[in-house]
Amino acid sequence: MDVEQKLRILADSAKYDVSCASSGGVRETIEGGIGNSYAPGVCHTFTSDGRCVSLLKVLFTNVCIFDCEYCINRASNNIKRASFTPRELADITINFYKRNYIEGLFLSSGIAKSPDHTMELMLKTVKILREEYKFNGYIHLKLIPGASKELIEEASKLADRVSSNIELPTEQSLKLLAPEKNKDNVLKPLMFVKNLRDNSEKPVASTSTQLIVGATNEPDYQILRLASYFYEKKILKRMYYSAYIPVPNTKHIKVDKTPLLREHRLYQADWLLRFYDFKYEEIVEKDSNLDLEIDPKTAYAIKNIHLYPIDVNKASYEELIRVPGIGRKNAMKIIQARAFKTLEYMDLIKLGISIKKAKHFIVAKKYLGYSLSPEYIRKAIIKESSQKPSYTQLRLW
Amino acid sequence: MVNIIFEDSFEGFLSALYWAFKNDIKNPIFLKAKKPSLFETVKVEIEDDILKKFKQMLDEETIELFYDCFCYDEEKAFSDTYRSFLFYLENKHLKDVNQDFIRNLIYYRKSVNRERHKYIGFLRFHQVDNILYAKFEPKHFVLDYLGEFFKRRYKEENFVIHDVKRKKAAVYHKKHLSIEAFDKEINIEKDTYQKLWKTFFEAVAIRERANAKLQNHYAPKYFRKYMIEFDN
Repeated sequence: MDVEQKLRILADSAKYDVSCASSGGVRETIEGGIGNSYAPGVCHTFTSDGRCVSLLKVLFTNVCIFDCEYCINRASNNIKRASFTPRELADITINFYKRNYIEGLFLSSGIAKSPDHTMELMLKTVKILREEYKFNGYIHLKLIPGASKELIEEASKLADRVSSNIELPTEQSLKLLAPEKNKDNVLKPLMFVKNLRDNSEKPVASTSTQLIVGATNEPDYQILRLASYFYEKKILKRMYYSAYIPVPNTKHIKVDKTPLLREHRLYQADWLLRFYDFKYEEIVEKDSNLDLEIDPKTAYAIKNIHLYPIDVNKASYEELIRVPGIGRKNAMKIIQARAFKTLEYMDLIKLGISIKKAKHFIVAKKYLGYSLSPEYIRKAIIKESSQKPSYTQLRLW
Repeated sequence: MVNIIFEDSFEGFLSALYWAFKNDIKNPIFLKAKKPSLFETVKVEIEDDILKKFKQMLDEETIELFYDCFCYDEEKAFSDTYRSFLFYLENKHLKDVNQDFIRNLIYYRKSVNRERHKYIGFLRFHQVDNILYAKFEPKHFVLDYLGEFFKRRYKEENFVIHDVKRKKAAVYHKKHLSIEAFDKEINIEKDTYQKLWKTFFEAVAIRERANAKLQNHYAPKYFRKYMIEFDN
């Protein structure tokens, strides 16, 4: 099989891993080498479904001895199989990088022969890049469940990010759909890397995970509680959510595909946890899902209408960022502008602040909305946002 | 009204701002090249140590902001910069975002930065005789920024980034970077990696979720001219 065919198969089977971030890296080009990582992250192109391509995201092999029901590459699925050699993959990476197609490599893999065998092949690829080509661009490595500690440690020193997909929010679901995986072999590696990072002076990769949403029936509450635990304990830098896409011949999964909108709402809620100082209990009710019709911050404000309207000329930064439609940048703009005058409706417009949602919750000299009735606001916001049909993963720029 | 022609460089631009201020010109129009006009036209030469003069008058952040507005490369950005310059001299800051021209400056900077950032990702290099060559047609002057960026990234390579519209290039040769006049037609031959990149680009798309509108939003058509994965 030629390299082009391999690339087609192994890129195709890797695309369901949603993470493509190249941000947060801090590597500089080394003498005689090539590549650095650029903290804000870079999108090099956008696929026909509108997603950012930042990294060469491929599997090392899609051969797999595991039989996870939700996965297209599972052992019992009859698909075309392919494997790179470490040299082939390193050469594609370096040549793509030189032509500015990518920020680096995202390498995951099916499990061929054994977890350690697979992890070793992946590390060999990365070593050719880092040591032979002196490549200092971004590398994301998937930790293979069940790989030995030594290999995980090596991976976390060579890569900018390592990840292990916990896949499902509860151990019961994992047992049902991924019999070879368990909490220990997917979660322990992440804890192990966290400890390395806490106790090492040299840089150690940051960590992330991915969770499939909708293949089993855990509600968003359970998912966000889990996310918030990981963030609080600083085990993960990011959590990714992937709406379940049906694969053929499933035994236990009874659902059709999960709406992308649910994934979108989870990302919005995740953003509130990480950057807006919200607690998960504030945005999602016990044992239930997020509201699909309105975003989580708006849902929060409507539920807590007694806290509004707030006065944009007096409110603190923390209060401002809790207004639907006002983000961190806009809150800063308001604070800067009001130092020179008392802000009115038109001043907000001039500052480029969208008051479509915000108007229901703020006072700028006078109350800008029509009514503080939660039912009214809800209807008005749903009506106004119904013209925007596309949902995608939130991005930082 | 007075048309002020300045030499196409940041020093040239600052010299023009300074000249207008010293001669107390109301509402001048700043131009890089002469245009037919009913008004009086003055050509301003670069003044010695002009950057040093500005560093004494303005803080670092404001000079950087003026630089980005110079890169915005439209007359309105130049005249808003002039009004901000006068405002700064009077008030010693540019924090009052209630002023139209200050808000405009922030907008220009944002546009320039956005384009810089986009091209960091969207620029495509080709291997031509051991030189990495990329061409593009940016709206704003972003060549200097990209030159510096790729100098750090491709430290050991030689590269040419060619701004076709402005007939200029960032040339990095033997670890030395310069911005030069450049108007050559470079012959680009297809190689294996271009083909592999196209294969990859098509394989990673999730067809069930096709969303051309979203793709256009992030990678607008005018960026795609030199992006080899798109059929132009």
